[in-house]
Amino acid sequence: MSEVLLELRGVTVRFGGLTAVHELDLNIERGMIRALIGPNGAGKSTVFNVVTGIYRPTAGSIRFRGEEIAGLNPYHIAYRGIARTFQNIRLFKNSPVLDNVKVGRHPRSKSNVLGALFRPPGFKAEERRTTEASLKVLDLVGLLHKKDELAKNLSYGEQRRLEIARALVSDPVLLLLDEPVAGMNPQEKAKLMELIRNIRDRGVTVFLVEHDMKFVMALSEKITVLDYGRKICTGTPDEVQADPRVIEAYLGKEVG
Amino acid sequence: MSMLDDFLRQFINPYYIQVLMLLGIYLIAALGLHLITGVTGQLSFGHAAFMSVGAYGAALINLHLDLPFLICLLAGGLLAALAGVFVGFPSMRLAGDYLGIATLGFGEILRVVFMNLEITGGARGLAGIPRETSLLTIYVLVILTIFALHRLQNSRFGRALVAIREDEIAAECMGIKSLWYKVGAFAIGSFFAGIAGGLYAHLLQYLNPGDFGFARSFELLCFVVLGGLGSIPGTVLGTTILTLAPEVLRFSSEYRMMMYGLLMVIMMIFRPRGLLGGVDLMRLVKRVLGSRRRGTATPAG
Ligand SMILES: Nc1ncnc2c1ncn2[C@@H]1O[C@H](COP(=O)(O)OP(=O)(O)OP(=O)(O)O)[C@@H](O)[C@H]1O
Ligand SMILES: [Mg+2]
Repeated sequence: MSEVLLELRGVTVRFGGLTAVHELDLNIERGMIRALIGPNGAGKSTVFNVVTGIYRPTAGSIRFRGEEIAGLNPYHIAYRGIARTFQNIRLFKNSPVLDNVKVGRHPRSKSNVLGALFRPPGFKAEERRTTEASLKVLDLVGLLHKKDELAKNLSYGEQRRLEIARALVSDPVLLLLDEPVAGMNPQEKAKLMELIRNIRDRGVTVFLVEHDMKFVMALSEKITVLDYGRKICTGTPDEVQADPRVIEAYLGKEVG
Repeated sequence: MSMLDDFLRQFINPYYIQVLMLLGIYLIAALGLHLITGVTGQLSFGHAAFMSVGAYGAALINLHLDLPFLICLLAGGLLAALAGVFVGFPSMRLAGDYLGIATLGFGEILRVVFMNLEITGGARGLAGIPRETSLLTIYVLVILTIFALHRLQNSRFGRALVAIREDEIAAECMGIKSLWYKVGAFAIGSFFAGIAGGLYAHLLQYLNPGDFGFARSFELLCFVVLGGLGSIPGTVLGTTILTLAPEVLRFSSEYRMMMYGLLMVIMMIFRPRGLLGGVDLMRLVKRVLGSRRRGTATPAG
């Protein structure tokens, strides 16, 4: 068994009377492409939000590389090596594509106000490294030719890829992708699948939420199914597809 | 320092030199507000109050301690920055957008305080400030301000500020501790307001708390908005147009506020990004009005 990178134990998230996530246990092993699926409103994005510190868990523990991170702020968690994209794209819309990616480099750089004003020798070198790293990931996601466009002028699929670039540029240990292919056409999906495999091969562990079953089943090594905030099962794509509880969760939702 | 002024006075009507000096002072103050509102997206309705901190600060230090003018000016700027931290930190720490209200309140409180303190001359105002400001000093400082802001904006710090303006939650997920950056931008913007205030004090040689009321804060906001939020050239253009237009068109001062109000409405309708800016004012206002507590009402996924 490989090392457990992220470990959720008994994680519960409540919004007033609504329990979005209920006593969730979940392990993400290093080096995997891991998926979380479930019907609409199952609590998938809430899991991402609680792992990245946007919400605090009502109860439970979240350990990343052995250290407790539940209740830390998003900026602390980013520094520890977790990067993410958002289901409802959250780009810096009025900024150029390149600047969007440079912001993602924040945890890997240091310069502050005084550095910006007085530009000591290290400043230029750091800016150059930031630019180089940003151009490299833009090339990786196929957006290098769009680097000077404003983010809001990109197509939907391009915006999703820009979010991935912005997350990748921080050299994360764990990459969370919330519905990365939503709104993409088949060609874009195929390309993105290749890209995600490529990212995993670079040593980044990928944890994704996705509704596109064909995509998830083809890509992931291990899948956890969530329904009404509760874990139904975890297993390989074949195991999950054969599980009657999973079929019921999806069918029950679609019919009702 | 004032040799240039004397020289120019032979060719230009001294009144116009005075107008140019005031323009430079407003440019410095407006550029400070540009960092707060245009770049970082934080609405401040009390920028003139921070000018008054710098104005009274620099003038009183000059009158009582007799230090060199530039030291007084710097001290005034630093006092304004300190006031910025004092107002910005608690109001931006609260989730939601309380900065607008806090700055509005701060401006009014400060006006009343200056009106009643013995040392500031109370309602009579503070007179007898030496005239130390010259056209050259002002425009050297304008250029330094533009230079500093340009450097700040083109750096990791500046990119973080824009990220906060565009999407604070996404920015925090990129490792940006938004509270620090917002307070930092607010303090730096207030610093420039303070410098502008110190120059103002040593130009007019007389300070009245009424000079720095809400009307002046609103005026500064108009300068920044007209030119275009987030753009240095836009702020310079907006400030220049709105400062010089009343002189050229000979508006009486009573109509000024009306004109600004009208202009704002027209801008919001026809050119919400200002003349040169990339940021939509309507979007900013909507975001500020619509922002609620983090963690309960802003699902990020
Ligand atoms: N900030 C919040 N305040 C109140 N309720 C919330 C909040 N965020 C999520 N919820 C609720 O929690 C439940 C789970 O939401 P979540 O967004 O995690 O679902 P999801 O599995 O990502 O769904 P989808 O597939 O539609 O994205 C939903 O009922 C949702 O309405
Ligand atoms: Mg979701």
